[in-house]
Amino acid sequence: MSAPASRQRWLVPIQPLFPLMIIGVLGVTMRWGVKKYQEYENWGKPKRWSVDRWDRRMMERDSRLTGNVNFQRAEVEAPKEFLTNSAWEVERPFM
Amino acid sequence: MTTHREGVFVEGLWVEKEGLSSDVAPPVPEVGCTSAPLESMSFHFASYCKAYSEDYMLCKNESQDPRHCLKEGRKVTRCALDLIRKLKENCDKEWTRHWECLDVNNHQLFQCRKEEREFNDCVFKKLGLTKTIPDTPEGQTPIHLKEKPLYK
Repeated sequence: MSAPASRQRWLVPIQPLFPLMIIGVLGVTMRWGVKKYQEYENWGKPKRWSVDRWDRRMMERDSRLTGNVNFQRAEVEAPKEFLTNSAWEVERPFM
Repeated sequence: MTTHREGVFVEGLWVEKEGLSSDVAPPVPEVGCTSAPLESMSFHFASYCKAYSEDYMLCKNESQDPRHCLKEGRKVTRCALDLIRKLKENCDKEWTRHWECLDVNNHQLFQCRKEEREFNDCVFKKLGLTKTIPDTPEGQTPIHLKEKPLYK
């Protein structure tokens, strides 16, 4: 009564690495997905990180010049609306 | 009140009725560049408009009142408009490539050294301006001219 001997399938034993490879693929897909979603939110560009007060005020000026924080323009003169617009929200009094 | 909360029932953005009236200040068109183009031409602006911007900064040191330094501010704006017009005539393609590279790289200058070198070469050839970083110690190459900045 001899039990069938278990044999390894391949010469180099890579079978224990399969779970690690699956985890690796899932991790890479997750990071790629997050990056793509952030680019979708920021109109095709990577998200700005480490934004300090200077960058925030420059981005507010960008939004006043072009309508959106992510759009850039390199014209000589500003549009006429730039002289009087602002980024302050106008709130309806409710209390 | 300085609570700075978000607006709750927001109905648009605030627009001024009229801008600055002409008898207070003669009208000067504002600079129409956003942050990335301005950042890439910042050092050339510093060397082109050095006199006007130093005047403005000395004037600002005297008082923080916005009405005090309107004249010097107008001079700085006109100088900046002149420089942007010249850049658009002469070095438009290299400038666009540099600020588009900055836009994709979180506005960090060290990520875009190749395009910056081409832009600086074009500006030096056509307009004669070089980029100098103030307060570099003697004997040390500036960081934008080092061939291998990550090596010691």
